[in-house]
Amino acid sequence: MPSVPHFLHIYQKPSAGDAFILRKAAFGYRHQISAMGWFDTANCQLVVSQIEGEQWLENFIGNRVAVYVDNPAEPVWEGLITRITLEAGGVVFTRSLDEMFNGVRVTYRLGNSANASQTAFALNTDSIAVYGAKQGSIEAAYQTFTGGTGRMTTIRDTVLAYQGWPKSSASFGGAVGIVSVEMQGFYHTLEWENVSNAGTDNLTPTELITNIVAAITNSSTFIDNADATEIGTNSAFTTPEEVRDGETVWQSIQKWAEPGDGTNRWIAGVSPATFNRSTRRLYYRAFNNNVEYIARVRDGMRVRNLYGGLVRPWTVKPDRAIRITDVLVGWNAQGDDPREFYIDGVQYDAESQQVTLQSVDDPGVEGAFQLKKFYKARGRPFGAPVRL
Amino acid sequence: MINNHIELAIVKGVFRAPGDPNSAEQEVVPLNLLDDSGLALDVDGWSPAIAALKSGGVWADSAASDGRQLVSSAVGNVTEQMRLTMGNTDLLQRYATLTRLNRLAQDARSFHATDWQIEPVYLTWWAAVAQVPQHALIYNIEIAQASDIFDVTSPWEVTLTIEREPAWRILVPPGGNPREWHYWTKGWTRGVEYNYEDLSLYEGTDHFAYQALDNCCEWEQPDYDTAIGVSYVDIPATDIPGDAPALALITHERLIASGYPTWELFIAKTTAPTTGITHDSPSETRTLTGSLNAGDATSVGTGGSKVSGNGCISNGSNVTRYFVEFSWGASAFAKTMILQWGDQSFFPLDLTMLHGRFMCLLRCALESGSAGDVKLSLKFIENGNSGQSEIELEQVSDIPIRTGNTVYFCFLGTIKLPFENRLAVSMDGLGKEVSASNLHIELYAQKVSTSARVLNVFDLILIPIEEGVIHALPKYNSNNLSDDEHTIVIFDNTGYLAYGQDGQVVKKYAIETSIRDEIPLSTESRGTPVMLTPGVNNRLYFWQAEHNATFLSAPISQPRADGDIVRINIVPRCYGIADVSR
Repeated sequence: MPSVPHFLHIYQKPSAGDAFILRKAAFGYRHQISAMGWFDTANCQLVVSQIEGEQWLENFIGNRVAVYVDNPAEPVWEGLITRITLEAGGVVFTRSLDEMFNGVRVTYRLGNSANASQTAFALNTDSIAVYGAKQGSIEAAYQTFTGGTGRMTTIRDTVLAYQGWPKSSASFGGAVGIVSVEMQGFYHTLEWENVSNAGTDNLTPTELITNIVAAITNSSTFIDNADATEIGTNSAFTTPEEVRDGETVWQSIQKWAEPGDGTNRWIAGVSPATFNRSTRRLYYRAFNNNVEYIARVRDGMRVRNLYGGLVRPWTVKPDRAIRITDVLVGWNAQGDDPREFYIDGVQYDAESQQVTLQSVDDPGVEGAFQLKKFYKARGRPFGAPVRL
Repeated sequence: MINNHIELAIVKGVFRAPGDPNSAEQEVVPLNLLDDSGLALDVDGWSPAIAALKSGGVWADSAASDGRQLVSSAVGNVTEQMRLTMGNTDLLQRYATLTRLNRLAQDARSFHATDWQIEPVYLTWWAAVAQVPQHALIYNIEIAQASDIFDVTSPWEVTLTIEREPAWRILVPPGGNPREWHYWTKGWTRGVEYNYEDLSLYEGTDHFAYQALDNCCEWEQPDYDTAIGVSYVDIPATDIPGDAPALALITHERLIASGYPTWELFIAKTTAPTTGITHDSPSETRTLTGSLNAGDATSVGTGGSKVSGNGCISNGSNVTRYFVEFSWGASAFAKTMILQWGDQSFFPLDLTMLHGRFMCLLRCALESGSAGDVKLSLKFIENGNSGQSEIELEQVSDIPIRTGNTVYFCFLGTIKLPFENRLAVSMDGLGKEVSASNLHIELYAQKVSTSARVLNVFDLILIPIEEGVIHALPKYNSNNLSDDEHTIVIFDNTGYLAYGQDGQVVKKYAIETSIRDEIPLSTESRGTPVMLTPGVNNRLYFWQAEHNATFLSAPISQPRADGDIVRINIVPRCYGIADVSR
């Protein structure tokens, strides 16, 4: 097929509105979509003049973006700009939200207390009004005395003062007029909020997830937190709602979603806005293990529908299974069918038009899967597995 | 008549509209490369290159199979060398010529790398015997002067390495008005038969293509081979010369007094055949339709009936409009089929004509309720093999809720037809074949709400998305508009609105006809630029939704006194030599 350009559409920061600003051709575009979370990360490069690059640094951190290819009704990816890098001819200048915390508190444990304690939040309301609430929780040391919490609040206030706005850095090198944009999906905004809940009820995961999303500090800024349409019913277990150790909203959701229902995995994330619905909402549902794609080793594993028709690589999605149809033909033995695997994650690279499908047995991403899960397996190494 | 005129020049700037007494254009700066007394090609001449695949193309390759498959075939810029000689005996003139070359090289780079150098720099070439010049935007010029600078008696050798865009623009230079191409095909001369007053992009009827549209596809019945209402523009193959995709400037106009300013607008291109003959009924021509009217549905499910008055001319009538109204009681119900199109004896639901990838948009609305009350889904069935050869798209729960009398687009997903191969071929050994109906399309509904609900369905639109499609979402402030005004949306990838720059520009204007006040308005456009394929018939579909509560007066698809007007102008292109004549 001839070239199919990828376009990056930039909109206002969600706290300011939803208006369209501009659209740029995206070069070197790549994205990751994960069954847990959905739109995960993306990055691309833009060709801009020097002045335009500086404007990007100044204005577009935290802005909403959507990437369109051939289908104008469905973006292939959607999220927020979290890092912009400007190569300004000899200097590479970066600005990002990664180390910004406009709401800070400290979690600590005093020597005479059975429970962890937390200071109140210190807030930079001006930053919150622009970017939304991005909270950080500092883990303070175990205290052996019963004393005042002045040190905790001072740590908190210092971090807030220093990191209440996007941070910048510079290094030497780079070309001229290239802006690199790194983006994160909206589910990452659930990592921006810390949870503190002293409640004592035992609730189902459905109730817990519904309640925690409905109470997020950012309210409806990034997702429609009152829309529980896609929160499925899982009554397989109940668990206490108490949270005291400064975990994030997303960590709580992972904690309650990963157990599944005893038979099936359950996944959660943020459903993208659609043509018919302009808001995003949380999904929590049993995973979809139906085979919806096939591939053939002999043509480079290009993803196809069940009838063999090619699927456009930028439209390949996780949370379904794929079957390799030209290996182990006639296999019929005990255990899982080795020709089929569930797609946990999809990586797409526009320049090579290739899609990398990630499953739980993928040794190359074992470390990444460990990092992303709430329940970490014991005794498992990070990085490449040991091989003789 | 043989034309012996030849030209080769580097030009900076956009030509003024002919006869314009108040033009703000700067003077065009040309540098002639065929000037024997100044700068001229040497005996080796110049061999214009043809654009090649960028980086050799993107291929899918496997050691387990023979050959490899081409995945992506974008072409790259062309880099060519010209060897020129400076033969001027006046040394100062040689210095001046070098200075002009260096300035043009700087300007060519700055045009792309800065925002302040806004005059395009391009190569103009008029080939021997050709009827028109052709132009290519220059990205970079490298200059090498190889001769002894102190040798004033011998001509100097200058080598230019020029990087230009892959395709030549026929007749119309970068930044030029594409309407001039249309005038040239009529045999008109610039400044003689037409001048600056004849170049408006949104006025008049004398354009490359001019058509009134109805925002629906309706057919004379019972044969369904003559259109009553059209939502497309057909451009014959003979009108699109060249061998590279032609750039297009498309203007869509709507008179607000008709009740509906342009809101969401889709423009999609297809080169699929628009008519066919089946072996079953060779005396009847089958026509490709971009939409399936609800009134033409083969079957209507429980609670539904074809209601006259609004909608599309259909249901066996040539004058009466129909839509389908589903009136459901309080009970919820599981997913059930409510509409089916198939076994049509008139236009074919056929996988030879309807092949490719399509966006499925249902124009419908719930009369009241909340999101999630009703869920809809589409199922496509090949060859009537229900349960065997079918694809059901994902269920959609956010059905538009009507505000007043408007109808909305409801996106139901995308589909690739046929499911596996590119098109259906005859199992009778007849090759590519149009059949009466080898495709059934079914609409399913699931009612979740336990309140009574009414769903109106007007038509199902299948928008091709493989050859270029634009979705424009103009935003406008109703305070800017009155009943006396038009809204005009312009889609331009010719470079006219961008003053020579690459890329697509979409602008929306509110034009107050009494004072020609152009009010630019923010317009987001999504999708890929629409270009016309040379040498084949092209069809451009135009579809709109109308949901501005301020201007409600009647439901969609009613005939309006003014309707919509589409004007199209093009810049044909070629990779080689402009082979055009008039």
